[in-house]
Amino acid sequence: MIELDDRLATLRRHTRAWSDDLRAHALDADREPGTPRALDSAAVSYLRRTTIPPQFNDDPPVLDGHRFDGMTAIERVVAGEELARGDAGTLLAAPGPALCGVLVSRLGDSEQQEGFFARAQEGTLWTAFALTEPTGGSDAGRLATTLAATGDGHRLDGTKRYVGNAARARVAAVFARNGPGPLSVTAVLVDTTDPGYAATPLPMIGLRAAQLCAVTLDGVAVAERDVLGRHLSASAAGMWAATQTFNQLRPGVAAIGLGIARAALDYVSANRRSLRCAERIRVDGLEADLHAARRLLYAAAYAVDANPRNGHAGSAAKARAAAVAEDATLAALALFGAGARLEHPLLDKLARDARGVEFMEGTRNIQRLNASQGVINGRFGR
Amino acid sequence: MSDPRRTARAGRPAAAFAELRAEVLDVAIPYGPGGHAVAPAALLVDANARQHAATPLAELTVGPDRWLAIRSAGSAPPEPPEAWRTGVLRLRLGLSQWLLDRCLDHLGERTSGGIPLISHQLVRVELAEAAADQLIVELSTGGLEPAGLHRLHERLLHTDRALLRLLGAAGYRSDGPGQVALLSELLADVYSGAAA
Repeated sequence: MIELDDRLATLRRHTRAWSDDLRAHALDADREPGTPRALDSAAVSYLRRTTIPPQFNDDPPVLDGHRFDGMTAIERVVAGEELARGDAGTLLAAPGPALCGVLVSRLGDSEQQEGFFARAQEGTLWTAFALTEPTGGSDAGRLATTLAATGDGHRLDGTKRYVGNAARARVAAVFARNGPGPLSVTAVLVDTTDPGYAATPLPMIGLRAAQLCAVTLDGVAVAERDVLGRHLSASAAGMWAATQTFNQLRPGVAAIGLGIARAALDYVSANRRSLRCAERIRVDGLEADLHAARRLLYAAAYAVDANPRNGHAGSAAKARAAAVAEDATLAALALFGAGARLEHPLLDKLARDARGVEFMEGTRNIQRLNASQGVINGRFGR
Repeated sequence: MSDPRRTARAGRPAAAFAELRAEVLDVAIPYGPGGHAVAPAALLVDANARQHAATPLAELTVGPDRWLAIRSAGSAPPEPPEAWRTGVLRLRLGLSQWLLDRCLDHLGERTSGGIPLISHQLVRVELAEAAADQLIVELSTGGLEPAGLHRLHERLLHTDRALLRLLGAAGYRSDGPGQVALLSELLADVYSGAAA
């Protein structure tokens, strides 16, 4: 049994209280994704001021005497589930370093980190994490975007898909390759106002507030100072570092799935006070599934915090979280009978959002395959 | 002779719906057990003009067609005939089969590790399960009790969700196959199941 310590329990308590503010905007954010919501809320303030390493964080959230930087997976999981319980779309749409913060802290040299995190704390700044591509999905091993050396820097060319906040971001971390093979995988920071960068929001079924975009990179000039990992050897950067970064981020995606499931079960609890016996059994089973998935997720987060190579449990947790989100949202709709999608628009939205958890960071089949590697090499479940 | 399932399988849900209506009914679009109707906008506004609420509860654009969902203005609209309820299931079966076809196209075009996705065992298992589920529905559409019919609607929903996973993020766009699956879920929501 994994219990949260007092510090993390404090984080959970506060973020849970803040999630109501996000839920109040959830349907509006879904209808009009071009308008960011809840920017003045405590939840978004927390997100703006975290995923910043302590040495660069001028104004970290302090809750009941505990300081938070969001630099561990377990912190991101605890806060992420509670805030996604409010609204997953608004969580993903929040300004701040977000995923880029974890990437830059892992791969950036001191100058890059100082510059990036200083900029992230100047007012309201959105960032984008551009990995997924039209043909290779989110498989970093199949990147087609190229970073080519020029006389005085680099040139970035390629196409990205499903990049959250890309149209409103001022800074984007873009994954590319500067040659063949796994050592050539690299990430660069791009100023989105530079010539050659264009982002267009895509029509999506759910998680609309995050404004997932198509991004084209047409000869974007990248200075050497913006190539992350420039101070590392090729073997310490490249695919190896990218994989470890994704290991650190994946539990956060799983937490969004659990938050959506939690919201659906909360909705049932608040709006179906009386359940028939079979319905009660069904809801209790879903609650048990959610608790079990959370235990797995906490274990995965602690494992990856202990060693970023430990990503297999995170893959298993992400696959389970996506399944729990789907099961809980569909079951909740069924409990409200015919026409539930029309009479309970928040539940309809949760069911649409749950579908989005599936493809973020790879579908459950991809996650199962990742986890199976851990079983085979003795690093997971053995 | 019209065949709503076949038309749905061809990726024409609005035409399939119109065929189903012509086959089963000659009056307004029926309301489901909860008092809701969902149909292509032109068909619904024309057929249900007198009962049509001023503001639709939901709008959905699927390919070239706009669909509307409304609530009955009166109380307790009559139950649709059984032929309608089984017809909606057949229509949804056609949409699910269309989705399977889209998966085959998608998986044949993409590779992983140099191997077409369609050759991966994990993927092939999912395709076999989907086809088996669809065949079960096809073989079960006559003389069903409401609970049995509802169960088949659920089976199609879960089949479609499994197929959408094979499409990855492409199945999450509202201008792609995922929107057809969303429409199918809405049809099931409105016309299957019991009133709460």
